[in-house]
Formats: sequence, structure tokens, C-alpha cells
Amino acid sequence: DVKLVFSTHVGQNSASQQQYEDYFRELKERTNGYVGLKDRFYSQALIKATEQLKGVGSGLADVGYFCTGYAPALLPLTSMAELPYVTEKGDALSSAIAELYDSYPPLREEFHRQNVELLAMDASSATIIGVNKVVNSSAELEGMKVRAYGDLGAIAKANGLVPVPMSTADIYTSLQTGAIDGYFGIPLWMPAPENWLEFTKTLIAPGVGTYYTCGLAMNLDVYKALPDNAKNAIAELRREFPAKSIEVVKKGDAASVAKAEEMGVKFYRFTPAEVEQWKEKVDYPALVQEWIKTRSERTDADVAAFVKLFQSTLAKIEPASTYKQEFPE
Amino acid sequence: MESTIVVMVVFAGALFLGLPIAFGLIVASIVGLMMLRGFPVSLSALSTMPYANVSDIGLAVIPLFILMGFLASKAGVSAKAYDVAYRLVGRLPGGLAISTVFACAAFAATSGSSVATSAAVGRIALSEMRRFRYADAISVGTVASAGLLGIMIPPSIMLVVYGIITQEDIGSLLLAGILPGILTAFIFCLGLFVIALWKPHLMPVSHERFSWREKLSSIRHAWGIVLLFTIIIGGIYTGIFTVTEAAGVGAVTALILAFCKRDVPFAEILGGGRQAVSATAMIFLILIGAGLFSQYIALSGLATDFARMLTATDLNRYVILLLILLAYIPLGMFLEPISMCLITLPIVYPAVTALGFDPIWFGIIVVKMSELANITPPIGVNVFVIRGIAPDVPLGKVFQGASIFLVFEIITLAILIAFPAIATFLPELARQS
Amino acid sequence: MRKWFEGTIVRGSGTLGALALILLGLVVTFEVVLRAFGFAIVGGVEISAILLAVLVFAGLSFTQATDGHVTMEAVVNLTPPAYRRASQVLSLLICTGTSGLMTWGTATQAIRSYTTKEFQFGTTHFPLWPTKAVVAIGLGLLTIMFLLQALSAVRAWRSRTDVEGG
Ligand code: NA
Ligand code: NA
Repeated sequence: DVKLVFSTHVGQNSASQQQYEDYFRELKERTNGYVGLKDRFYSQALIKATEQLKGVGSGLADVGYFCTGYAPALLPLTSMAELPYVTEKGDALSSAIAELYDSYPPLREEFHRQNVELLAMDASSATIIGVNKVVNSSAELEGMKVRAYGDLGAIAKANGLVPVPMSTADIYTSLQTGAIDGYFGIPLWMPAPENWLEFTKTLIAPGVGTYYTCGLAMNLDVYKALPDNAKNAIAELRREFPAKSIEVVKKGDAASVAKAEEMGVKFYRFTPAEVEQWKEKVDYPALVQEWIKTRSERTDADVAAFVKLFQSTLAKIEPASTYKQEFPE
Repeated sequence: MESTIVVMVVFAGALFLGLPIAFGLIVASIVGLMMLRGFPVSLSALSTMPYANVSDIGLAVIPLFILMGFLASKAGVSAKAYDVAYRLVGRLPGGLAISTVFACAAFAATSGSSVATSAAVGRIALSEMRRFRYADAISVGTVASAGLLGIMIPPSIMLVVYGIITQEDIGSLLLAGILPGILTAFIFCLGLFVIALWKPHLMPVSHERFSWREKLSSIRHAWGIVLLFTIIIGGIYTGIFTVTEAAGVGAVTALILAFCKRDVPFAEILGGGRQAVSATAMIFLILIGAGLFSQYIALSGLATDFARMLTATDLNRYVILLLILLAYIPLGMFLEPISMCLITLPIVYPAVTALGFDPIWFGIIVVKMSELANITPPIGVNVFVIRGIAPDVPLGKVFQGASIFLVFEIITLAILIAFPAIATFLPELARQS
Repeated sequence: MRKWFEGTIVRGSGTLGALALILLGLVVTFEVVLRAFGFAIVGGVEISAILLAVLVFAGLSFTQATDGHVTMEAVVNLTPPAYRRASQVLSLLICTGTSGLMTWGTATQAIRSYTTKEFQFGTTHFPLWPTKAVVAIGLGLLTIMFLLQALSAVRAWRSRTDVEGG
């Protein structure tokens, strides 16, 4: 049997890690105990977040959690799934990637170029904004300093907010000192376990959609050495995983909402007009073109064609999604 | 296990040959990683670690605070501050060292890192204590160790890391650090006072007498240091900037003060910059080595196996606790504290709480063990920071000075174990209100 | 050769590091001041990151030239003085080799970063290769510094005179 070294940059008890504890239990069962874990390293104990994918590819760890946001140039096609305003349904999004991984060779090839096999893709939760004052309209967010990275920062800036880039680890103290008034680019399940609710007056659903794509990868040499039945189990699980993953996300989201309600936090959902207004201010079509352009420079694959295929696959899967961002109205 | 023996022999051999400590760590880690996972993996770790270590912009506090210290010295800010301290507490045995502990405690209330605290206060305090003929071991020991308050008195990187790993409430943890932080500062001051009484030649007292009028009127000369600290501490607490940014603002403020003092030529400012760069390069190279070494320790399973073995026994819970703490001492000698916690806590924390120990209290104990790790040889980052600031002091002397404080630290640790309420009182009070 | 290298390249990179450090302080302060007035500057974090890399890695060789990389002097002093000169040669050669290996590894990373057009996940699509190139160049200079010191040590060992530095 094989005993694997696992590495992740997230905490042992985080919602995203819980899904993978279940995953490994299931994988072990389906391979009759053949594929198991030897050591687990959480919170970047073995490999830094930005180096996770490379660390697995080089064999420092056998399996590991990765987020395409940390290495968008290494996975140009996959990282297109992080485009804002695509979908709120994270299970559909990761199912679409899993499906295309099998049916669209360029996608699989970009993982193999990094010397990894994709094992599973998370179902992400739709991005929220949390701020330290009571807010009843998108206009009231103007002038607030929010933690935001990447193009969410651009969206925030275009709409009059002040984006402050920082890692999630710095959010707590920055909220405490007032260096930021809030946070953006965060899944709904996160504010409760990270204790940010202490400094949160309103949780906002801005309708930006899911914004991160993370998953589990295995070193390709380790994968190739596995017997066929293990490989089959892995392929099965890749397809099944999004539906299981979203259940953990929903539980985490519900826990965050319950805690927020208990603490008297207000909830606000952007009206459809407000969502459109935000999209317009950032010039969304130009943003999409920019994304396609930067990715096209980094792969021989046809990124624009991939985006079309991805969106049609997503449209086919979306109706079956069980996810809805539950906000008390 | 056999790789561990080889790695330790290689590391010791490297130190005896006179390799820089950073290269001792790097060579030992290459060998260890190669034995565990092959040469390509070892080479890949070696290729990615230098950039990975410098890509964390939070580490910029180290060079910026060191630069601030150099420039504050050049601007005469530190000399004036210590002239004032000398007038106020010069007749108190150990007065200037005690003042330094107070300065560190005040700074610790704004900075989450012990390295940043030592870097910020170290340069200012060190040359001044030496000017008043304090023994080198006392001066360097004080600045290396009083910086440790940085991770106990909130804010604290270590408490946040502990909270993230264990999912304990970070707010409660930070509250819990206040009293143990004050206790630590108090024990340091008391210890220095006792040593000054016992061996007066180590910390000579002032024979000049100053009237209260002279004392009070001297305070206005300290405006430079007051300005610097007001900007940093005030800026962080009012939320104008983060701690990393405070280091930048502090350095620029000191730069302006140096420019205002007309007789500081630019060449001298640049020289201060070069010294800060030299100290930083030395520290970062060690951090790169320590990063590789902790990858080796993690993959060797040594720490995790040991923790598993300890927690599986059914001895008295205080015996198990003691064994765990004893195991943290050798780990802390070689590992950088954050890595040490990341590797061990996923196993140690559930076991300790299952034994019925308070998880918030244990967080404080873990911070104490991290403090020890920062000043024990061979890898004690605080000690290296001080050595970088004062390159003329032999490394052995810095460790010797720090070892005095090691004794104070162990006394503090014993008090915290005997009276857990020192840690748990404030968070419980907050929960009730 | 060693004199020239230390006097120009190494000292120059020390000065470059010092300037990068002062500039880092100014960039951070500028960002804070602008934010206080409600402006956000794009790319401040990325500029800071590259300045940090410059000051650390440009500083490596300068630090070695000024004997700033700490050794365990107390442990070294336990070894018999007769072997001290030979061990210094060996030590510097090991450092040259290790540093050379790191230079090669980080240079490979930098080239890969350039060819794959790696960019940072930040407020702009900021390329990563310049920072990675700084890392490799800094380690390269350190390797040359070690090599020149090793050669001096060999010469001194042969002529049985003491060498300074290293
Ligand atoms: Na602190
Ligand atoms: Na240590």
C-alpha cells in the first residue's frame, strides 16, 4: 500500500480542510485501504501557500491543496474559472472543471505540465463583503477601506471603495486597529471561525459570484505508479466530490449566518440594479477580454474557446445545483 | 531516525568547520531532504525557499525597524532619551536596563513580533547602555530578551498563529497575553535589580545627584523619542497604519530627524542603511536555512512521532505536560517558533486539551516556549538580530547575556503553570461581561 | 581581483541595498499618507516586495565581505588552531558549492518564471521574474565572494600566513 505526505496552507479545522478529511477517508475505503495518508501538514507547516502547487509537482509532498489564485500563470485555463460574475453556484463550477478535465485534453495537460494530477476541485462559496458599519445600500460603502486582492480590488476601487491588499491572516488585527473597515473576497463560512464578526456590523452579498478555485492535486509520478483500480477510484471521486463539498460549504455558511445573527450583525443583499451598476463601473466586458488576453500569453491552448466551452458546460450543470447563498431577508 | 543522526552530525560538523550558521542549516537540510525524498526534491526545495522567504512583505518590519534604530542614533534621539533616563533612574540599581525593559514593553503593545521589538528598541538602547558602562552581556541580553515581550503582550503574531491552528478565539487569546506579559516584564525588572545589587560592577549606578527640577526640565530633551514613539504607537492604535507600515513610517520619521540635525551627512545615513542591510541579509539567510530545516524536521516525522508517543502514554497529566514542555526546548533550539508550532500543535493541542488543561492558558504556555526558542542557541532569531545590530559583540556573549534571561523566563513559566488564572482571568472576565 | 570585486561590485551592491531600504520606507509612508486622504495606489505592495528582495539579496555578498554572516565562534574556538587554516579553506569551499547550487536553482526558477510569464495575484498583473532574478543575482554574487575568499584562504594556507575575513 502507499502512504502519502499531505500538505495544505489552510487550518486543520477549516471548512475546506474538513472536505478533504472526508475525501481521504473515502479514497482509502474505495481502494480497500491501499491509498492512505502518512503525515498531514496544515497551515503552511510544510509548504507556503504560494508554493503549494510547485511543492506537490516537485515531490516535496505527495498530495496537496492548491489555489489557482496563488499561481494563475501555472494554470491559465483553470484560473479562468475565477472570473467574477460567472456563477454563485460553486458546486456547478467545480463539476464543470471536473467534467472538462476528462473531456477537454488541454485542461488536463496544463496540470500534467506542472507534474500533478487533479484529484478534486472544491465547491467554493459565493464571495461576500463584511464591513464595520450598518449599510443599507451599495452607495453607503463608498470611501470604506476593505481588504481586497486582485480584480476584486479593481471592482472595489471602480465603485469608490479603497482596496487594501493583505493576506487573510492579517485581517483580524487590521480590523481591530481600524487599518481596514471590512473585507471582500471571502467565502461566507469564513468570518465566524476567524472571529471577524466581532468587528462586523453588516454582511453583504454583492452578487459577484464565486471568486476562488482551489483543489487537491497529486504528484504525477506518485499517481502514475498507482494500480488501475486506485486510478479509477480517483476519477470517480473527482466527479462526485463537488456534490459532497457543497454540503460542507452549506453547513459552514449556515454556521456563520447563525453566529452573525446571534451577534446582531445585519445582512444586506445588493439589488439586481446594484449588481449591474457595479459590473458596469468596472467595465466587465473589458475585464473579461483582459483576462483572456493575459492567459492567452501563457498557454498555447485557445483560452477564448475554453471560456465558451466552460460557460456552456456550466449552464448545463447549473440547474442541478443545490446551492443558494442563504441570507436572512 | 537515521537521517536525523546524519543531519545532526553534518550540522555540528559545519559549525565546527566555521561555516556561517545559515549555511550549516542549509547543508544539513539538503542532506536530510535528500535522504528522505531524493536529490531532485532536495534541490527543488533549495531553489524555491530563498524567494518564498522574501516574498512575505510582512518581513519588511525587520530591516525598516533596524534602519529606524540606526537613524535615531545618528539623529542623537537615543542619546538624549537615555540622558533623560539616566537623570531619572540612574541611581536605581540596573535603572537603565529596567528602562529598556519598559521601552520594550511599551513597544510590544504595538508590535506583534519579538524580532521587530528587539530591532526597534535594540539599536537605540544598546549603544546607550554601553555608554553608561553597563556590561556587554547585560546590555545585549536585555535588548535580545526584552524584545520577547513582543509576542506575549498583544498584539502577537504567535497568539494569532496559535488561534488559527487550534481555532481558539483569537480575541480571548490576545486578552490572555496581557497579564503574563506584564508578569514577564516585572520578573525581568526584578531580576535585573537583584543582579545590579549583587554585582554592582555590571550595571554601575550614577553618583551624580539631580534635583527634581533638573530631572523634570531634562524631559523636554527627550522630545525626539517621544515624537517617534507617539507616531508609531498612535498611528497603529488609531488605525492609520498597520504594524508593517509603522516600521516604514518610523524609519522615515527617523530619517527626517537625522536630516534636521544638520551635521549628519548623507554618506553617514547611507552607511546606517548599509549596516541595516547587512544585519537583514544575515537574518534572512538564517530564515532561509531555518525554513529548509523545518521542512526536513516536518518530513522526518521526528517531532510528530515524538508528540504522538508522549500523548499516548497514561502518566499523570502534569508529568505529560512537563515532558511536552521539555520536548519543546530542543525543538526550539533548532526551529523558528512559528514552524515549531505549525509542526507540533496539530498533535499536541488536542492531547493537552483532552487532559483537561485550559486551551487559552496552553496558548500562553506555547508562547512562552516560543520566547525560549527565540533566545536559545544555536538558532535564536532575536539573538541574531542583536548580533546584527552590534557586530562587534561576539555571538557567544549575546547567548550568554540571553541565558540570564532564560532563568527569568523559566521562573515566569513556573508561575504561569502554578497559577493558570494569570492567563485565564481577563478572557473569563470579558466573557462574563 | 578580490580587492577590485569587493571595492566595486560588493560595496556597490551594499549601497544599492541601502538605497532600496530607504526607498522602501518612503514608498510605505507615501502609501499610508495617500490612503489617509482616501486614495489607493496600485502596485505599492508589489514595489515593496521587489525592494525587499533587492535589499536582502544585494546585501548577501556585502554581508559576507564584512564578515557579517554569523558563525558559532565559540564552537570554532574549540577546534585545534593547527587545523584552523585547513578548515577555513574547506568551509569556504563548501559555502561556495552550496551557494553555487542555490544560484543555479534560483536562476532556473527565475528563467522559468520569465518564460511562463508568471505574474502575481495582486492589484495589477505584476510580473514575478524581476524579483526572482534579483534573488538569483544576489546569490550569484555571494558565490563569487565565497570563491574569491576561498582562493585567498588557499593562498594563505600555502604561504602559512593569516587571512582576514571569511
Ligand atoms: Na505585542
Ligand atoms: Na532557539
